[in-house]
This record gives sequence, structure tokens and C-alpha cells, in this order.
Amino acid sequence: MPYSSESGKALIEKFIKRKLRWSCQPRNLAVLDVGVGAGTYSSKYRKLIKGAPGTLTSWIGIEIWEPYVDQFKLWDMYDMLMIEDVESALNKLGVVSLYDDHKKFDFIFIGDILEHLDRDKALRIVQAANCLLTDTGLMFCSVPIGDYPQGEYLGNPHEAHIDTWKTKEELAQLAGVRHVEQELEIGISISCDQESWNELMKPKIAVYMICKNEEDLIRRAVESAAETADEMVICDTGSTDKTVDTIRGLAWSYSNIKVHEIFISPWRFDDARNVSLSLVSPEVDFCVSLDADELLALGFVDQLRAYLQQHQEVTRVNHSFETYWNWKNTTENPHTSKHFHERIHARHGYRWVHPVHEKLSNLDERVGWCTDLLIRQLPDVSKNRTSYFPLLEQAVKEDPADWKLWSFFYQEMLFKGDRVSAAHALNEALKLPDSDKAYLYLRQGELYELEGNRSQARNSFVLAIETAPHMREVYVAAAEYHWRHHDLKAAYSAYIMARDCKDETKGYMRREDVWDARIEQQINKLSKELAEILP
Amino acid sequence: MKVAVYTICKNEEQFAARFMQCIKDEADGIYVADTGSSDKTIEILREHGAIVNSISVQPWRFDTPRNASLAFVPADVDVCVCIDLDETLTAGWRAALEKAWTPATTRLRYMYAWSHNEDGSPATSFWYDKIHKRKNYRWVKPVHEVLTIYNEPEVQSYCSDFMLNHYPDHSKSRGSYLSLLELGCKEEPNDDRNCHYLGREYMFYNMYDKAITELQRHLSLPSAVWSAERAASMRYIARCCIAKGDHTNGMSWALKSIAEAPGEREPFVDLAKASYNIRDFITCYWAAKKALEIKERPASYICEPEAWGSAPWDYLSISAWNLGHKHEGLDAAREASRLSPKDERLANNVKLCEDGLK
Repeated sequence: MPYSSESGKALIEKFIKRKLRWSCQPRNLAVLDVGVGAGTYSSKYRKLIKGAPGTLTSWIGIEIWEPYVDQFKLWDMYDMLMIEDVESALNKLGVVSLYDDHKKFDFIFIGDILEHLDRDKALRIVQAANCLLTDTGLMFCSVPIGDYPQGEYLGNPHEAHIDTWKTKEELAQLAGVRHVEQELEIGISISCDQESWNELMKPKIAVYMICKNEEDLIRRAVESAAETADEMVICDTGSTDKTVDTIRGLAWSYSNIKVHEIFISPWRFDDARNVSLSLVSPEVDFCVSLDADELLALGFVDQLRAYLQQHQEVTRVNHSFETYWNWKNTTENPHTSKHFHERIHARHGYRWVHPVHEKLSNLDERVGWCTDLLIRQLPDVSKNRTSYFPLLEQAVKEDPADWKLWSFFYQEMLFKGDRVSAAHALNEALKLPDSDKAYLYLRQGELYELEGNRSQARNSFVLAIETAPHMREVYVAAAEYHWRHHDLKAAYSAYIMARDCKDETKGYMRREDVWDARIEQQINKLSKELAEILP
Repeated sequence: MKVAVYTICKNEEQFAARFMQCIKDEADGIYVADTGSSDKTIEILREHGAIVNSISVQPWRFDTPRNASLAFVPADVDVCVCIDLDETLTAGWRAALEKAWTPATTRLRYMYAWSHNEDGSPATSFWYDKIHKRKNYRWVKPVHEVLTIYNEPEVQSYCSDFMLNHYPDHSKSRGSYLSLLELGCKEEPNDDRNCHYLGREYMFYNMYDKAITELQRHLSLPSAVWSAERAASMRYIARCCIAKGDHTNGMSWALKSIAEAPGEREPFVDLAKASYNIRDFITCYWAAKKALEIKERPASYICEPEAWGSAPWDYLSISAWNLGHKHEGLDAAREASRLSPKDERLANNVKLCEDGLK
């Protein structure tokens, strides 16, 4: 039939978009449609295949059956038509391209043609077409897989099917094939130069940011990513200092940086980050959300690409995050803390939620861990942290079932000295079925201790251990509590139990000082104190 | 005063020029977030002076891209006008807006003609409210997204000196609308409006059992207090019951909807239809008469053009005729036919009545 199945068309479109986004030269484009039929490929992709502004795209079609030219008004869809046998047309184009490299093609479509030819001829014409591809060109062959007998159609004897492609794997025999896929009844092969295929399929990474009045920090953050990331999106949310000048200047030096000035009112972190994320090209594979006071460690983007090529199933990658608190004072010993963060995610499927303490939400995610990936934070500690309290109240109102929000609420209340509200927030968090009880009981214990309620405090530490009996940090917290209150025996036994926990803790509960030599130092110190009081 | 128009769009090249024509001379800026057009929409908008940013939001929802399009409107704009590409504002809207806007106004209400009669006059129209001050507003909900104010009380002003007209492309599919509604209900299970819309959508897709469950859930929500919408849920339950062949419950829910909103015409028309289905002409006659006693058509989205067209006259004519009120039947048939002059069945009914009376 002169018409082409819808199967596989979305896949082809995806690859066209990817190539146009990532490896398009600023010159005119040429497209070859081998076996035009009703002109399906031109009508589907002509609007899509556009080069840089000011360049032209020309479409050349080869069709053996002359009546289709008028029937389907093919001259409206193609800039040049060759009405002849496919093989002889390709040979002619081949001779021309020998003398003029500009007569090669960026895209070649061989759609539902091969089943009309005997196998030898099919292989020959794909070989001939493959020679017509530019260095970065892509060729798509589409063939029905399985038995689809068809005779002549509308009087066209060439429409008869004379060969059957039984499995999609047979398509791998075609010249230059790098990738084969099947969608319903249609097999698709993609041919391309090996090197440019590798380049095309390399995971594409975008770094996206929001910033406001960060003139001191922004350059450092952007320069840590601009060289290596495929794309950067920076949204300024209303700077009054030189931040915008700086990032516009950086965008002048790095063509992969896109700068936008946006205005978010009412201010919320989730809305601002969602705008920034929405501006990342849809052809990007993975995104890194970076703040102005952070920077990517050296080699970060290449490490991430390598990880993603090994772990194609993941939608989010948890990574290391190190805060260097006193980075401004180079004479002191560095004071750092290390956590794991969750800011690397697939381009699609995620959105930010919560006005503050915003997090990425995806109902269907697969999380991977890559602790080698490091984002460093060099914070400006002079910035005011309490101004976000109304946002936190709003967050709790919008999502009272999120225990972490209650936990942040507790921290804010404690900071303000409102212990009653702090205790209430902890209780709300403890009520939620998915809350981290061990973490919350530890905080509750500390709160009771602050209030001088020793028996309740002790009870909370016991509850924390009961809910996480394998976690070293919990025992250590209990041990420290007992030590502070001079119950050295209890402290000692808690330390011994802590040391017996061998599974290293990941995530926010992790304390570095309980996993290195310091725990032994503490135990030794405690033993000495114990020895002094024991008879 | 600075007034900006902002919107989202995708593949709407057939509307782009008309859209720009009605706003470009009156707005101080036009900000569009294109969500992935592959046609000439972006080029046309830019040619006419719009600032277009390309964004991509997947999985799709409406609030996130609308908030992005709003974020592109600069901070020094005072009033934002959100209109879609398939809508047009009547000329002079800017001056009318400025006249109606007071220093305290945060949001402006104006008439929206959602559909039009063949002669171009508005068919379904109601008050709309997507003109708002630049600050403190954002969009919420994945579908049927609503503008919500934060940090200050809302002050509404009304303006009837211009109108927003909707000329949609009916060939556009409803696409992922149902799944977005389901997502909306999952995110906010206690939101009555989402729940009502989801039940209605299940009914449109002939998923009657799911529709009945969802609409009953709507009725049980504490915030579902608007009687016209409650009555609509009851009517839809009645329709679902009848579609399943359960006429007893169908009649029961139709009667309940009248009790819920006795001042609305639609419940009476639905009861007339339900009783006509089971040849209960006494009820049908009463319901049609009561429907026609309600003459004021409220400006609300609940209004159904059918109830305000020939349908109640049609039910009145058939039931009156069958009850032996033949002259009343003829008069009603004539009125029905006058309101729907192209309907051959109604014209034929007039003829049948006339012949029967000879």
C-alpha cells in the first residue's frame, strides 16, 4: 500500500528530535525518502526537520510508480522527485555524491519498501543508501515483521510483497545498522556512523538552577558545570545585584547556557524550580538541580553519564553532598558534614512539591545510589534562615501527611524556643504511618531532656532503639544521653551494642563519627572513666 | 497601569493570528509558554509580537505550565489576563478593564461565552475570573486548574463592558483529561469540584458504575454545598441508572435533584426525560410545566443548553397529547419546533398534532 503504518513513527520522531537537538550542524539539511508512496514521511516530518534559523531543508523523493505523483500531489511535498527504480536512482545519487560531498543526506527514510524487493536487492539498496549518509546522518528502515501477503494495489504491480522479514533481528543484516526495535507489526532499524551514534546516545545531562542576589557565588557554581553539561538553565528570580549581568555574561561564553528572568509571586521554591525544570529541553535525559552556593565536583558529569549507561533503569540517582561550613576562613581546619541528596533525576516524570523544603515527586520512580557523585556546598552562612517560616506553615497545611514537613516544623519551633509546639509537631509526625520513628524518638528524647524530664527522655531513647535495633547511630545517641547524665554503665553497654551494628547507615541518619576511629576513642575514654568509679 | 496577557499553547496555528489580533494593540505585553508545538504556532505568535518560551512538562498537567507562563510576566506588570488561544476578547477590553479595576481589586469577573448559537449569539455563558493582579496568585490542580490567592484576601470587581468568546476546535480530543482528573482526585481527595468533574467524565465515557460511585462520593463531601452542583451530580446519577436500565433508581435520583435545587430548570427537564422513558406521562407533564415556569437562566457553567432550548416544550407536547390535552400539546409542539427549526421530528410532531385535531 502507498500508506505507511503508524507503528514506529513515534520512535522515529524521537530520534529525529534527539539528533536535531544534539548534533545538528548550522547548514542546510537534505532528506531522502526512498519509495515515497503517498508521501507519509514528508507529511509527518517536514515541519519537524528544521535546521538552524536561515537554513533550508530540501526533500528528495524516489518513487517508481508515476501515477502516485498526481494522485498524492507529491510535488507539493518534495523539492525533487526521481520517478524510477529505487536502485538506479540511488546509484545516480551515489555518483553525484562522489564528486560533491554536499550532495549527501542528513536523514534517509526507507519506509515499507524492502518487503517489495527480493532480499539481495533489499540489502543492496540499503547499502547504496547508507553510502549517501553524511557523517552524522541517520537512516531509518521500516519493514513489516511476519507474514503480510499483499498483491498489487490500485493497479500498481510494485505494491506486491515478495519477501517476508520474519524477525526484527534480520534487520541487523542491513548496512550500518546500530539499533533495531519493533513496535507492533513494524520493525525499525536505524543506521548511522558508529562514532556519531555513540555521541548521539550518550546520556544528555542538564543542570538547572534558580538564583537571586548571588553575585558572589553564582560564577563558581555555573563554571563547575558549564563545560561538561549538555545544557544549563538558569532562572533568576529577581536579583537586584549583579547576578543577572554575571549569568548573561556566562551565557555569552557558553552557548549551552539559557538564562531566564522570572518572577514568582507568591514566592515558593517548588514553583520556581518547576519553572526552571520546564525550560530544560525535552531531549535531555537526566537533570541535576543545583543551587548557587553549590558546585559539581570535578568529573561529575562524566561520572554521571557512565553511571547512567550502566544503570539505564533508574529514574533518580542519590548522590553524596558535602557541606564545607567554614570555607571562607582558610586558616581554620575545614569543618564539613556529609549527607546523601536526591537532586539528580530523569528529565521526565518529576515535579517539585512543597513551598519550602521542596522535594522531587514521582509516583513511579526507580532509585539508584552513586555515592561517588559529589556535589559540594559552600554556603553563605550569613543568609537568614528563619524568613521561610510562613512557607513551612503553608507546606504543612498543604501536605499534613508528610512527616518530614512536621519534622522541619519541629526544628523551627525548637529554634524559636516554643517547646510546646515542637512537641506537638513531633507527635503529629509520629502518628504518620511512614514516618521515621527512630529519628523522631531521638528528637523527642532530646526535647524531654531539655525540659528536664529524665524518665520520659530515657523512654524515648529506648523506643528509638526498639524501632531501629540495627542502626549504630541510635545506640550512640542513647549512649551519649546516658553519659551526659553520668549513667556510665548504661552508656558503655549502649556503645558496645552500637559497635556490634555492622551495616553502614546511608541517608540523613548517618553520622560519620560513629563509622570511623572516633567510636573506639569514645569507648576507650568511657572505659577509663568507668574504671575510675568501679571498685 | 500595565496589563499583560499570558497563556500556554500547543499546535494551535489556526488560532494564533486571531488571538494576537484581538490583544496585541491593547495589551502591554504578551507572554506565551509553548508546551511543544511542532507547527507554526510559535512563529506566528512571535511575528505578532508575543514573547514565547518553549517549555516541556511531562507527565502533563495544567497547573505547572500555567504557573510557568505566569512566571514569565515581569514583576512590574499590574494586571494579568489569562486567555487561551481559542478565545478572543471583544475590542475595547483594555479600557473597560481599567475602568472597572479599583485600587483594592485583586480579581476581575467578566462574561465568558463558552459556546455560540448559529447566529453568533452566545449560547452557554457565565461569569469568568481569569484576570487578576500580578502578585500573590498561582494556579493549582492538575486539571480544571484554578487561580488561588495567597497572603491577602481576594477582592473581586465585576465588568460587563467586554466579553471573552470561546471558539474551540471541536476536533481536538479530550486526550488525557480523564487520567488528569483521576490524578487531581488522588492529590486532593476532599476537593468537591474535582470529584464532581471526575464523576461527570466517567459518565461521558459510559463508565456508569464508576460514575455513580464518584458522584455519590461528591455528595458526601462536607465542602459540596453548592446546591446547583449537587443537583447536577444527582441528575448524572439518574442518567447513569437509566443507562444501566435501572429506571426505578433513575426516577428516584431525578426527583432528589429537584428537591436539592427546586429553582433550577435542569432537574425538571431531566425528570421529564426520565418519566417520558417509562411512559409516565403524568410526571412528565408536571415536570415539563414546572421546568418552563423557571424563566431566568442563571449565568453558571451548570446550565445545559438542552434544558433552555426545545426539550422541555417537546416533553410538554408529548405528555399533554398523551394525557388528552390535545390543544396544549399542539401549542407546545409548535413552540418546540420554533426553537429548533431544523429538527424534522419536531416539525413532524406539529403535523401529527394538527392532523390528529382535524
